[in-house]
Amino acid sequence: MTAAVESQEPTAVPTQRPAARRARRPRRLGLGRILTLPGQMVSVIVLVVPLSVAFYMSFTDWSPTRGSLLDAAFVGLENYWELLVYDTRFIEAVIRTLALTVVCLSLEFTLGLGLAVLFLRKFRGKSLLFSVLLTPMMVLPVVVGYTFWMLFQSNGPINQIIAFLFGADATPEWFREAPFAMTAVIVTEVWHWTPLFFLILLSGLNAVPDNLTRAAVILGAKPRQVFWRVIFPVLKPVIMVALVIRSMEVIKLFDEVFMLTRGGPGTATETISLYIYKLAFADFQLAYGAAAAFLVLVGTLFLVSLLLTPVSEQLIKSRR
Amino acid sequence: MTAAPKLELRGLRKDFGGFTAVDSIDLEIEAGDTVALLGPSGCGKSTTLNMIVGLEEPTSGDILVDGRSVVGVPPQDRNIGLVFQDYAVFTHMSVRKNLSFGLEIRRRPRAEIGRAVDEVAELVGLSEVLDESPRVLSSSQLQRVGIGRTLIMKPSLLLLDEPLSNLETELRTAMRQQLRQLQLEYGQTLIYVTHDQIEAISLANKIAVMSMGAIRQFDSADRTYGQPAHTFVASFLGSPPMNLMEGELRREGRALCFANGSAAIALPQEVLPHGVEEGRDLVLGIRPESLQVAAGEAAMLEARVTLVEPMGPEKIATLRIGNWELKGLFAAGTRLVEGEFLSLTAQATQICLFDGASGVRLNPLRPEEPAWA
Amino acid sequence: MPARPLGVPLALVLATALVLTLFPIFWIVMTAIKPPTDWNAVPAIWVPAEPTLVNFKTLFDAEAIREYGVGGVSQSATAAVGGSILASVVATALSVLIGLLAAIGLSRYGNAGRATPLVILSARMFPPAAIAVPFVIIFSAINLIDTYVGLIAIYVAITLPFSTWMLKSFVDDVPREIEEAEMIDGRSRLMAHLTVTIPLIRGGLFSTTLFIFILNWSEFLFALVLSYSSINTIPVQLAKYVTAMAGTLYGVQAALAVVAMVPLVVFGFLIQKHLARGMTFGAIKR
Repeated sequence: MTAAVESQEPTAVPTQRPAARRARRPRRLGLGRILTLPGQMVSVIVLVVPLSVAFYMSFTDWSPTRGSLLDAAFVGLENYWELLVYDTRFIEAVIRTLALTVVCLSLEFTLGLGLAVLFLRKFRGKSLLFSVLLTPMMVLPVVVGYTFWMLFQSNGPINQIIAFLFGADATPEWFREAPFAMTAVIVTEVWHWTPLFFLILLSGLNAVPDNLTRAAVILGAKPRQVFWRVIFPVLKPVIMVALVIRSMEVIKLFDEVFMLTRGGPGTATETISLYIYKLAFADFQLAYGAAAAFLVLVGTLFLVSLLLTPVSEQLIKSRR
Repeated sequence: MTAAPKLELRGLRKDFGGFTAVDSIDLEIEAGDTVALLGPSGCGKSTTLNMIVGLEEPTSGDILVDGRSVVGVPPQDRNIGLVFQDYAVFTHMSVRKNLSFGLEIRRRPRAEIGRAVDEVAELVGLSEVLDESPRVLSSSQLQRVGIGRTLIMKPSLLLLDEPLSNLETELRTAMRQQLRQLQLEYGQTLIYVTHDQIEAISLANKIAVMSMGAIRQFDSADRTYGQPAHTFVASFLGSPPMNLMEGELRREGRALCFANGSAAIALPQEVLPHGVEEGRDLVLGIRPESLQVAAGEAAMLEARVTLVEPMGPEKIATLRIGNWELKGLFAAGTRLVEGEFLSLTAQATQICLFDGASGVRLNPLRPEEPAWA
Repeated sequence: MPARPLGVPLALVLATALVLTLFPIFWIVMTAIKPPTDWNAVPAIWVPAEPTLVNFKTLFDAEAIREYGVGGVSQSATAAVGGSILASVVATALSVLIGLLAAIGLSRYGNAGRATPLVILSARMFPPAAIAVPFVIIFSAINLIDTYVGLIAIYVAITLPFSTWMLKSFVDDVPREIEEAEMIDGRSRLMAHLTVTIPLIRGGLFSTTLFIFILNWSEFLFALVLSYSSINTIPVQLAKYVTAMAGTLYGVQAALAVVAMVPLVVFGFLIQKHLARGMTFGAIKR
């Protein structure tokens, strides 16, 4: 990286007198580069290097039982071919993760938006309730997973409530049947992250200038029209930011599922991350796992870039 | 076009908790008038505007448009237009969509909307940019979107909140002329809300000066300037504002004198209104430009010149008489020397007397005449 | 639109949201204070008749936990809590320090161009399970596996984008003119940053630190794959309890979950104002 090379010369900006500094103005870049250098180095060493290794590895048949990675046979696109054409477990995990993303995001968005709109009203205890409603997103994912694992036990409180409402016959074995296990994962995820949508959307709603809605009201818009014709379009970039950030997180979903179901029963709740984890750390198919990871990366990049174009504009604007 | 209305505020009051933002004001605005609601920020003018438009409900009092009360009527049914200070243009819609917003909400026929948009765009000079996004428009164009969007609804009364304050200085003059022009063509009752006296004077026929939730004077620009009805009006209008001096009346023989300690001004008899007795606390007001250099008998007061600031065609002198500090505005050729004493006079008609406690004017208002010429 | 008051139906909606939000937290806390006989009772006991802190004691007592020692869970949580504190504190300090330098660099000198947010977002897109693979390989080669140094290095790397962009958004809020005024007084640029900018973003620095701590404290996957016997963190320990077919360990597990959760909930409330900023890389400021 050029930054690293250039900033090696001792620029000594701190000790220069003002006049001297002015005369050598281009040097101003020096301090900026020195300041960003540690961050760049960390990123390069701890992210770029491993990713490059993984990328190389994904074209080999390497496994830790077979000696050094350098000696591993180069197999070209074989891993990728295998994944895309023959590995139904991988393809199912992809589809399952995408479906999970769509369902979770829709629910979280709808609930979060509904709550945020309610918070535009006046009522007592609003700031306290706001804090309390944010609590779930502050709980660590492993604990969330563990807590819901307890709640969904066959003799747990959720089944107790179901038995009370619909009779003892109606209580499911949450982790033994695929649709119920999936429901448990979705409920957990929605509980955990709806607050983030609520938070982001509420701050977005509060940022909509009052005068826009007042102008719409005076021009004759009913509350519903004010919301859909004025507030919602203004809110769109914020919505996009929330959707992109959350969809990236759901695609990576691991901790909660690991604690709740381990992907079970069978592979019924296995997400991509969980599958890759099992490939690499249970089956030691590291090269194959790396190939799967890169496929996921490309797919995610593609999906997110669809949503991202308007967002990056927003990100840049807010940085000015 | 609907008949031009008369807006009437009767004992209009608004409390926020324990704070009275608007304190029982009365105001009558004749049909076709252009009126400026002028006052510093926090004087209650925005609250008044919000109540007229319907964004706030009054605590008590009534608002009548054409003699009919609109209190309790939702904003969209009052037929009153408001142009916001920040224009509140919908940036996610094209100019055309902004203009047609009100009519589309009301589900008017497409053809009618199209015609109305073209007409209004022509009127406010936006025909060229109808399909642009507001993001690329200048601030004066944005303002015209705000105005056009409101005019298309054919409001019977149009309110503009600080219409010039967000414009660059060069644009202000142009916009002022355009607003004037628009008013001539449109011929409707307009109310400007502003904190800028220049804006008020240049845009409106009549000015309602507000402070602390009350209307201090509602009159022509000339009279509010020349014959302020309240010390607040005197101190708010003009730059530099009217000199206000606290003191009391003394009678020395036949001569009348306004004094505070050692400082004194000899007053002509006709300044004194009926029923004002000696010893009462008063405030005397003289505009800086009303002070004239005089000699001998004609002199009303003697002041020491403490500072002279040349301002091109004029000079501003800071003058001291006892505890009073006055400003005087003189022609550039006037001989003024810092540290020297100066004999000054002013015409009786240009001297104002206010009650010391309430700030209300004591000498009666004269009929319309240019107070400074 | 003037703010309207809340009607009764909507108040009920909010009350429901409140109950649903708090119920899981209520349950975990209640389980943590249940005596062992109540842990797995049928029907489940909601509020223990005799609340106790015995689970918390058991958690940190190797002897006591061995008594329950089903399926190989014989470790007390002491090492896990210590490991979590060590890794989180050091990694947070480093991440914030490096991020602060980078934030000043980017805000004051950088042309962090159009692409930068995209680059960061795409780095976040890569499934951690996949990044973990090469880490394990490289760390094995240089003996960093199963060490806190290795774990901390990864934590710094994965939280650095958050600390950099969150801090940059705070630095951006400080007008340059203030630094420039200081430089006219004869200070160098670097001194101006240190003595003017940093004190001015104190609040932001505090919030960022807590936010990064939350991220590090919550991390699970890397700790899971990098820890064998020498290092441990709370999330890993919690997962081990679950692995151990530990139906019998409910109360102790819940106690550990509460220990893990309490600092984060407290920190989260403290930085509530800046959570949106942190979660969105500074894109949403309030």
